[in-house]
Amino acid sequence: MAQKILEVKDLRTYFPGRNEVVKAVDGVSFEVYRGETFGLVGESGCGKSQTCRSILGLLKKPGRVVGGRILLDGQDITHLKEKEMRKLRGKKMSVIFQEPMTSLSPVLKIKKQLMEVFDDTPMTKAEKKRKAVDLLRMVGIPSPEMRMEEYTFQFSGGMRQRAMIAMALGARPELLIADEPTTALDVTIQDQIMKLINSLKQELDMSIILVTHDLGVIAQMCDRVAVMYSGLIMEMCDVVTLFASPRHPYTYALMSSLPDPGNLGARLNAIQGSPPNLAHLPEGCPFWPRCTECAEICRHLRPEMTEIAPGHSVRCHCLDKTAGYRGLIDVPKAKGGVALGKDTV
Amino acid sequence: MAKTQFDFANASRLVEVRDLCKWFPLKRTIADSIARRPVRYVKAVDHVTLDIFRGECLGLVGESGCGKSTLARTIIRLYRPTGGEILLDGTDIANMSDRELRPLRPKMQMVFQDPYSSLNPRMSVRSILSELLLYHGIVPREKVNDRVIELMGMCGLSADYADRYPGEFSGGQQQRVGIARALALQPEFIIADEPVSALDVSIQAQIINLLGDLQEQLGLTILFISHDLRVVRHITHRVAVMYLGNVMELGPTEELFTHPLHPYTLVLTKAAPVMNPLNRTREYAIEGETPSPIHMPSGCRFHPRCTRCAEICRKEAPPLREAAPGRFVACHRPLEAGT
Repeated sequence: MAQKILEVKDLRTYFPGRNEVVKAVDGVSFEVYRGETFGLVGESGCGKSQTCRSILGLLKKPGRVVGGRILLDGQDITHLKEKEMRKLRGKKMSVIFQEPMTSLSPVLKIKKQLMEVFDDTPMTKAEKKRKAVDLLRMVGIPSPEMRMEEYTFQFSGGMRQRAMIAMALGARPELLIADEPTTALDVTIQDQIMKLINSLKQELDMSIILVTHDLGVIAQMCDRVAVMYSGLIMEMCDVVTLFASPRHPYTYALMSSLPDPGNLGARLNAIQGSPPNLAHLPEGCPFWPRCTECAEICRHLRPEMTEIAPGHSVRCHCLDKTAGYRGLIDVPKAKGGVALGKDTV
Repeated sequence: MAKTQFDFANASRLVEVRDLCKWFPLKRTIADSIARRPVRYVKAVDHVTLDIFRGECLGLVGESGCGKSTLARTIIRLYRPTGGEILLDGTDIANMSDRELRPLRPKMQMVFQDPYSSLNPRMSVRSILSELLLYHGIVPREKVNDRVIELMGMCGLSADYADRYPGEFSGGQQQRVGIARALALQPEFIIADEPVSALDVSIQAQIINLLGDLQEQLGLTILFISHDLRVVRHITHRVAVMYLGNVMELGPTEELFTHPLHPYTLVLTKAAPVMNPLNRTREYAIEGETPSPIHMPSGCRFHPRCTRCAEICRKEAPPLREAAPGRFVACHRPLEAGT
């Protein structure tokens, strides 16, 4: 496959407390290739957002990267100074958050906020303004010349998210980190924003890290996916494999707990219990107390990531038991490589 | 639990909503008063008519701002309606005073979206539940404790948790407490307003199962509000689709999802992301956004965004009419069943 834009190796991000250490990210490794959308999926508190914040250098105190390396386009950015980081953010990598209202300024006009993106580049005010209009038009805001004179509170939720995307993409970043970009939106608006990001990715030739808890969003947007649980990646593979033949009991449990249109009204296969406290992780595999396949070894020894097929890694001791899992879709035998939906490629 | 086919022909009506309106007046400036401009309203619920059958689970879907929560809160009389009737078991409760409503309150209860903010953080589960039981005199004082434990058991909470406070529970457990509180008064009718939206996927399934089991055991009537169509399709018998304060379509769940009659229903079903990476499209399910409820479009509220819009749609608001047995639609040019 193509070049790597980002490499994360054994990343550990801890939040030390007075008596205990919250291990938000505890040994996460993955790569993001140029031009792909890489999904991080998991429930709240699984460390997906903290992984992104570690990459961006935007960890909240007392969070700290205590181990591992982050390489952006070959450059080690793990412990870069804030001043250096600032040069990368926006140009090299950029971010959109879940709630656009909290990331936009309520007291500045959209125009002002958009034009700030170009502050580093030598440009006249008129040029900046023209660029800002172009950006708004690109993300599908109607009559951009008029709307850019407004404030964020005059925008609807969907429009705010569009403005946020325009701002993030202003300096043409190579990597976009989208942290739950559609979670706060209605279904019809979510549909529009997902498709907007998909087409902008191709237009601007970006790579995307997409963080979400929604498997539907993953299915519609990603090329490869990592499923996270308690600060660890449990399963990583391409999106079709994930939906066709998941191999980790947690991935499988997530899929089976969804209502199935073919079996309406039946009891849902809920996952028992709740996710563990990250300060007191169980010994062994963090998922064992809720796992249906749990064996003796799972309670004592944390499983390692094992590559079971090219590009498909799973962190589980019981791979023999999970071989028969059937996912949500059936795939006609792939003829070499991934065959995604006709509109992707 | 298998969702049983609901026998509508022989079902009696528990709640009848007739022409219900809830308008919120907009703030007037002094200039407005001097110029004698008329008061403007946000018509959150505008002439809604629907029946809720005894023992059914009715889903209420729509996008944010369509008035589904306002409708629910008006039916349960947390709001005073601007007009219309709400018949609970044949009695009109639309204009009752708070005092008159009090003896009826145990019949209808509500489960809220955010369990934590709907529970008093300074009261233990035991005191939250026993306060209700004592106030309404549901059980004699010496039996209150047993009843509390029984309620907690019904909702899958261990009796050891009785003296804990809401903040000590996880989100799923808090919602279980919220459900136990709603059930404490042995209601006939429960309104669940987005009860699983704030919960993680793995916990959502637990709560949905719990609601399904309780409905079956206790014969509850549930109005289930959600924006998650997958969940609604799973547990409801009938669904009402709302848009800008109006019910656009109402019908048995499966028929409505497989053969929507209203173009807006079709849009909603198309917009939900398909759980299949091999099935992606680039076309938007619908362009644009819901207009502001202050500047309501003329005629059919959906017409500016509708692909089937005709001349009549711009002028006349279509009434909700029965297009096929049990299937109601408010549209001049409904989709054929089967498209």
